[in-house]
Amino acid sequence: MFDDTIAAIATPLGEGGLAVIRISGPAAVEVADRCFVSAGKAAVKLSAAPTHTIHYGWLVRDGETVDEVMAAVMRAPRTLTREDVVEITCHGGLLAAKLALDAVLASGARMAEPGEFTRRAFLNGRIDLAQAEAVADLIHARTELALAAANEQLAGKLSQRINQLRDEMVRTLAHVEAHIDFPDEDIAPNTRQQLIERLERGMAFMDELLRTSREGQILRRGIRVAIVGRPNAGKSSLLNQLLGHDRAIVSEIPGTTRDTIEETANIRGLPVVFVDTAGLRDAGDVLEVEGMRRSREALGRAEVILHVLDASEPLTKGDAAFLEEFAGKTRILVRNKIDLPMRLVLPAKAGVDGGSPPERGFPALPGDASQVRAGQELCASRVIDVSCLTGQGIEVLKDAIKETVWKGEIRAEMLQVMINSRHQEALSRARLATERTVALLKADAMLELAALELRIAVNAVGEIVGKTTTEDLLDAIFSQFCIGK
Amino acid sequence: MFVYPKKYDVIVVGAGHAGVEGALAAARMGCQTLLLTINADTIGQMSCNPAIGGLAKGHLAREIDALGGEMGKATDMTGLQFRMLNTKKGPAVWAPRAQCDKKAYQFRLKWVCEREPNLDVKQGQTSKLLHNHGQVHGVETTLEVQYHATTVIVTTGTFLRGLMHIGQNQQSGGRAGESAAMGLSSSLQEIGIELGRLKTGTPPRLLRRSIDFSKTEPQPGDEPIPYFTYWKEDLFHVEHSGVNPRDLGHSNGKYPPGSVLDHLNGQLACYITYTTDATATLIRANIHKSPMYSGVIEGVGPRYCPSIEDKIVKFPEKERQQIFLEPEGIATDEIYVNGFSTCLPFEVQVEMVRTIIGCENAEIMRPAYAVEYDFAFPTQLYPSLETKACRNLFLAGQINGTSGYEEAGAQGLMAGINAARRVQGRDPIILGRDQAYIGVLIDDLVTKGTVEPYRMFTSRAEYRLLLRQDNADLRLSAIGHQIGLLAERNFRQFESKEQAIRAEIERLENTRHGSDTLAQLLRCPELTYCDLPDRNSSLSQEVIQQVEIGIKYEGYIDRQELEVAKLKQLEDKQIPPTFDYELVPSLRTEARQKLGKIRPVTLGQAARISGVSPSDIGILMVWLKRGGQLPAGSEPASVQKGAAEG
Repeated sequence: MFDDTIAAIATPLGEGGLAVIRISGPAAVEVADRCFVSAGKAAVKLSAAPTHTIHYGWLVRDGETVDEVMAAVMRAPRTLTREDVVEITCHGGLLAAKLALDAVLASGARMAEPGEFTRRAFLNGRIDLAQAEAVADLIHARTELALAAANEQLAGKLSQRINQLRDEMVRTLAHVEAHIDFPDEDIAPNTRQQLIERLERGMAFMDELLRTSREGQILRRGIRVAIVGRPNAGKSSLLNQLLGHDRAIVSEIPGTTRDTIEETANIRGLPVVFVDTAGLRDAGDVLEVEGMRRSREALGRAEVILHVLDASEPLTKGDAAFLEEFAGKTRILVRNKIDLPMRLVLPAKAGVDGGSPPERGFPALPGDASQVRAGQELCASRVIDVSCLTGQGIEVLKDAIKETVWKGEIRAEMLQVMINSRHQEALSRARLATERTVALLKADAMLELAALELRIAVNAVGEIVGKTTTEDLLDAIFSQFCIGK
Repeated sequence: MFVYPKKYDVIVVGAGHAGVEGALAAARMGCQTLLLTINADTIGQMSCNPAIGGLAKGHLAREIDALGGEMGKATDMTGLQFRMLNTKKGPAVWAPRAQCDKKAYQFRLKWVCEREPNLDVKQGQTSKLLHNHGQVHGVETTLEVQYHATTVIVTTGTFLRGLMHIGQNQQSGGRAGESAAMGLSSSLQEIGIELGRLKTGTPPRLLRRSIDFSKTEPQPGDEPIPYFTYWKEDLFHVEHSGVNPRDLGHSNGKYPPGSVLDHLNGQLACYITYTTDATATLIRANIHKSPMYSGVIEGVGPRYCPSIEDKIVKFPEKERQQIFLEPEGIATDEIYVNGFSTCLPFEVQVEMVRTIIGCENAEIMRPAYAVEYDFAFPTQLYPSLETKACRNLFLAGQINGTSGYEEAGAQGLMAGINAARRVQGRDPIILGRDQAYIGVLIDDLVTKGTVEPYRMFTSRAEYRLLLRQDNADLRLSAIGHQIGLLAERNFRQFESKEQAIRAEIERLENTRHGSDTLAQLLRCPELTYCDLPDRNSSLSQEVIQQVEIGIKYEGYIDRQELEVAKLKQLEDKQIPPTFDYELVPSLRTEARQKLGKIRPVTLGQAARISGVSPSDIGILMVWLKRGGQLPAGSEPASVQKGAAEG
């Protein structure tokens, strides 16, 4: 049906241990033969290998080894796309996976468009439309960002930013040092207020860089969102709405969800791992007890809680208990079943007071995303009204989930300066020292103490790009000030 | 050829600020010492500004004094204006500065040297170093006299092939009116020491009565006098101060008897004035006549001591330049024009000085000039200041690429100490960067080298809060005494001070006033020792100051000490002098070359060499731990592992 062969990285982007390059199409095995050299006693060409077998060997390009890999050969029709498929498992990490993919592409495959595997699976009758859409959505998000990131030269962009920060800090330190070392000179170093302003700009810059570390993590491994609520509040229905397909078993009998379900979805560009907990209630049987234990564990690891409430019923003791239990966590209160008459009254402060009309304590948001931002941003308890039956409010909820962990747009270029943990550690030290410098300057403390802290900060930033301070500092002093007798 | 019959332990070539300290230190440590100078009338001559101290330099002078050197006392006895700089900032960056009587300073040092029992002062120009088998054994003068010695310290300042520039006019000489040392450079090169070229400059001197000081702003000295020496009692005891009894003055004990202040019975002021638009216009019109700008001068000048033409050209937006008019002595009317160094032709200088406010009718007594001279790249030295090329040969002062009397004096002192230690068969004394600015200075020179005249700044010190001008004795006097340099009476005085500080801090920490200890009260920024409810009125001001700083700064001092402790392991790890970096396979080429050239004494020093990365240090660490032995067959893997960890 399709005459060309496509390839792409099939695993989530990031620094995982392994990555899979998927090749699909009539020439998939032929393409793989060109870049895969089987090794070991049972070495065999993939074209000669039986279907659904896996082989150890080397990925090569222009005669040079790219990686040590495993290659699985699967012939049509019993494959993901109902075409010939070869999946090459290589070492993970953006760069390694990118190089492996490049080798495959160099052997004659075309880069797959986002969601193209799924599209082929659907068109070849492997999956139905609903499934295809859900999967495509996921693949779309990840592939897009993976490509953008892989194509950037991370290191170059990062050191450019760090050097910029460091230069500015060295200039500031030069002002302080010139003031200390040349008391008799007719120089006019910046006032304390000017120095404070410069340092605060530096701190904002550090914050931006530090955030890329957190954002990088979020993009790499996703965020965990736990769905909680009393039985039959509609947790599984909500999960299905968010995923767009029927993954969880939905029934009207409370306690149907017997285990913890984890599903990943693309929510506004973010990989989100939804954890649907077993209905938390007094368990009647052994299975349920086990489910509840796992639920507790899953909740512990979640970064965001979606607390589902049944809007068609008054607040129960169970609801109140949940409100109280998760008062300290980042959460969104989801009032489900708003297609039914509203009978739920939320307390003014969830889990603390009771009785006030909902609008005062928690402004419920109609389907308007702008109001999410207009309301309390990153508020621990936002309220969203949805109907899992009609799908009303689901889009607002998706916005709210994203906004909870990520302010502003998700742009691929953010990955350009994604910093690693060593950078993050040094930068955090620098930030702390800068903060202390500012505090000392504000307290009108002795200048050499401020200089001491600022020196620590400059050194820490310098560690990232491998630069020491003294000579650069003297350069900065003498280029900025007319000093000397 | 005449070989002088007396064989010396130490010969010091050159009697400037480095030479005098070196010779006195060696002699005081019991070595038979010879101080050879081109001109015995210019011992300890202040070739440029007759001032000692200032930021970081004042710290160095205090350290020299704490170890038992002469610079501090000489300054105290001959200063005509004393100030403590930076008192609006914290104690770590306070710095003493004194304007000295140029002639008095020099005569004082000559007198001190002449009276030192183990020291001979002789006039003679050294033309050659005597050496064989890579070891120096004496010097030869231009009169073909040979002096033999175990060790030689060369402190030639700006005299090595000195070339003075005024406009396009060039004259050979180390200082105006004095001849250069021509032969010694080739002798050093023959030994294998690589020389470079540096440049420095000095401003014109004006006649006092040709200046209208009413147009300038006087800058008085501080009272009470912030003396340089820790051994102030010595200054006031004629038998210890080394004063000539005929010189006693009229201050009746207010100032050290026989000192310049004693003669004046007070201080002289310096004066602050400014250049004008006319100065800038004139310089711009004549800039092509400057040998710096026309490319005649090849030596590199100091950035921090730029000529006035440099300042005008590089900072055109600055409307006026600050100038200090400073007396050169109490028995002369020459005025030093601080901030106005130049090498423009004399005819331009005559007009230029008259554009300065107050100097409209000024008469130049001595023109400004620039001087170019040879220096030895200091990375050719061990931290003891001994040359790597020639055993028992030490270099100190401006020859090592530094500028400033204090930098020179500090090196001279250490070279003198270490030459004496060599004679005594003892290990050299090497001060750490956490111990003294002297340590920072020498470590910077021998580890990083320099491409411009090196001057000390407090910002060069990592541990600025530890290296204060007020605690140099606490840091160094025990060492000075232990090596036999600091007099017993000084050390006893130091010990009782240290004891008093310790006892008082302990008392404050253990005495309660209400719910707080006295130490806690003293930590309040607004409280001083004098505000404490229960204070010890018998304590001296110096002790009180140490107690205050010790308690108020405690947190910061502790933090710096913690950093020092963290790095101590590296600093303590010795690298054997014979270590062969070629044998270490995983070092990067650049690191291997630099390590092989600089031959660091410790891992700490190795880590400070530019181009040596932390992973190189990691490799070395593993290698040294194994004693440089190759376990058969297993070597590369374990070395690389070390690199990854490092």
